[in-house]
Amino acid sequence: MIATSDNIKTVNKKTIVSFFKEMNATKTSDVKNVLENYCDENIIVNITSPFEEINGIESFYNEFCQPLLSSFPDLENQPYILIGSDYEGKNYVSCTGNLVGTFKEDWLSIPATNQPTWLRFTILFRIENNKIIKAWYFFDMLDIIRQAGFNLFPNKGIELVPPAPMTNDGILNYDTNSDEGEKTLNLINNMLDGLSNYDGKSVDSMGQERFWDTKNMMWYGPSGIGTTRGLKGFQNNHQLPFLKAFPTRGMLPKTQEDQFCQLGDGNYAFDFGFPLMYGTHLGNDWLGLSATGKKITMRVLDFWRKEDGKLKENWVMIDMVDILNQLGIDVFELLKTEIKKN
Amino acid sequence: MDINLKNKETILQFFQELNKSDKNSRKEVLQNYLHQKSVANISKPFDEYVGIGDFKTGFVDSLFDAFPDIEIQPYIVMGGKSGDNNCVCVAGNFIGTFLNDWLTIPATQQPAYIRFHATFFISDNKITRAWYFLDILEVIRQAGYNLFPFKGLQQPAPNPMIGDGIITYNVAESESLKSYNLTNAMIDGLLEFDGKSIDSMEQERFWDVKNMMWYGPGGIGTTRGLKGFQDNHQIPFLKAFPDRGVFEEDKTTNFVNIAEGNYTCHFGYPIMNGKHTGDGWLGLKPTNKSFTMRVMDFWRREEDRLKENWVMIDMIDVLEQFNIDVFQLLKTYKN
Repeated sequence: MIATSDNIKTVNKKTIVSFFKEMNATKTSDVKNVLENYCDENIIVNITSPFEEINGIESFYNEFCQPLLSSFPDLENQPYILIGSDYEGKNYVSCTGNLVGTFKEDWLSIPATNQPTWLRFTILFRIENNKIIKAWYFFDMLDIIRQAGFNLFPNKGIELVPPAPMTNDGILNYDTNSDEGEKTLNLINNMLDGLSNYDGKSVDSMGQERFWDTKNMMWYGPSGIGTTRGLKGFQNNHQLPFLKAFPTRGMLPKTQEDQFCQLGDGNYAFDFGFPLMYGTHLGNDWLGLSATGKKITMRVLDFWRKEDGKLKENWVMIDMVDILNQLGIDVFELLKTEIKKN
Repeated sequence: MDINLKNKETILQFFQELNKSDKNSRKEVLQNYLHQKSVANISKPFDEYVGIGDFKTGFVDSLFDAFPDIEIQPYIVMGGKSGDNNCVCVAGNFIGTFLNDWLTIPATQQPAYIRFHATFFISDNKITRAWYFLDILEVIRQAGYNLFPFKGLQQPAPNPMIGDGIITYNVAESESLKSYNLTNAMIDGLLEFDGKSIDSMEQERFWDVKNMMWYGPGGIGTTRGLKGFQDNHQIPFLKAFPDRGVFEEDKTTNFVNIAEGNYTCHFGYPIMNGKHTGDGWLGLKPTNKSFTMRVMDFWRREEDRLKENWVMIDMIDVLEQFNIDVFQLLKTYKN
């Protein structure tokens, strides 16, 4: 089942690849067996809103897997980035891609379409002794709602299910050159330092042109924001509206174990916080909203791909439903109203 | 180096150099990779272009004018010998920021995905013949205009699920043959249609019935599972064109039928003919017109079943033969 290798990172990555393979091949009735083979019985799973923390395999199956598979009976996991490394002495595998399935029954009150649906996801796994002991799932809930026919918020970027890496080389289920991973990690950390140098006036103060393929970078944001191209497209369609809405945004201090994670593997890097950032909603227009003055925290994660020493692609997931909740906006209430209108 | 591998590398280099080129260097890149008398056929509203200059002014310049930062991003590159020709077949996207109107489609100032398939014939490291399919209805949709009601989901088609579509690695001849035989047996099955029931084609023998993905062109869309494929594409298509048939393959030109590793490609320009006698397809009433159809398919096999199918059809050409002018329709929508 698991290839022998001295490299624990590679062993863990292969474990997750075979976990997905078995999940895809398994009949719904046997899913629990697969979970038992790969997860610690006391697994802790955090899933973006409207889900809450789940403890143990039994609850994970009953509260999450079973309803998901009822709604999408032919659901398949199709990751396009899968990387692994350690952070603060803990071993992680992180992957992003789509769960693809036919939307047969309503899910979380989202009306079934009987059409194929791409559930964009990221999962971060913490692994010990070949078992998953913790997992964090991000879903692009607003995008699933969009595919069901409801555009709840105006996007500045374009709305599409983000693509796989241009280079088709995101599944790193082999030993990678650790220097390369380190280089990628340094590049994104220098870029993030640049973001923190914002002077509150001009995006130029962040010096971002030093880190990105300024002409051709792709930024694949969550639904509600959308996809942008080029540094200018990124600034105009994401960065400026975001900074206008949350001018005092910053990184949260660490208050809980494994709240943060950073991984570098080959040309890919990953940054994660659950939650990662704080801010106060002081400006208008983000997602078409008026400022609420509310303080919020944000669950955010990023994957980057490096090409010729610059960042070329960036997959970004944010728990939008959670942020909107904190702003006093209930996405599922909004959806209910829209469904009634139709 | 093996001629097939060399040709695929040549095409990948050609794309890379075009992506890095600017106004001044573009012609030189074309000259480096195209035969002087290279002939390119591009799906409607484009045409046939003879020679590098014609191709550049007729097609390449128009793309770069509308999408100045355009990049070619292939996700399938495969090759082989089709008849007497060494060919390379490609699927992917042109990605660029849509800054200036293109073919009267209004610029969005947003990134656009121009889905494409292309076939190249290569001789002595130069492209001698090329055919490009562009999904123009999908670009029009991205610009905000849904001209036809579609049955499947509308979305630029994704890369192969397992990311192994750029075949610059070694493949076993036996695997290629398996793919070739499976795809061609499936096509033979399609031709067994008895005019009444889709069951007569016995497609369940060839596909991953539960999880197959069919990525059709804009206007038809994407479907999942054999049933999704039948309900959202095959049945409406056969209802509209019950007597559709496939042209006899001509070994010399305009047809490709190759396999490499888990991938197969089938291409004809045109490949099918039929008569539009039934209603419903793209929301249209039957026009009783006879027509031909340019089609290019890629399949990915997983074990002994077909799992993914990327399909491009020159929809604008088909519609034109029904006397429907897509750009006239677009004009009406814009006003």
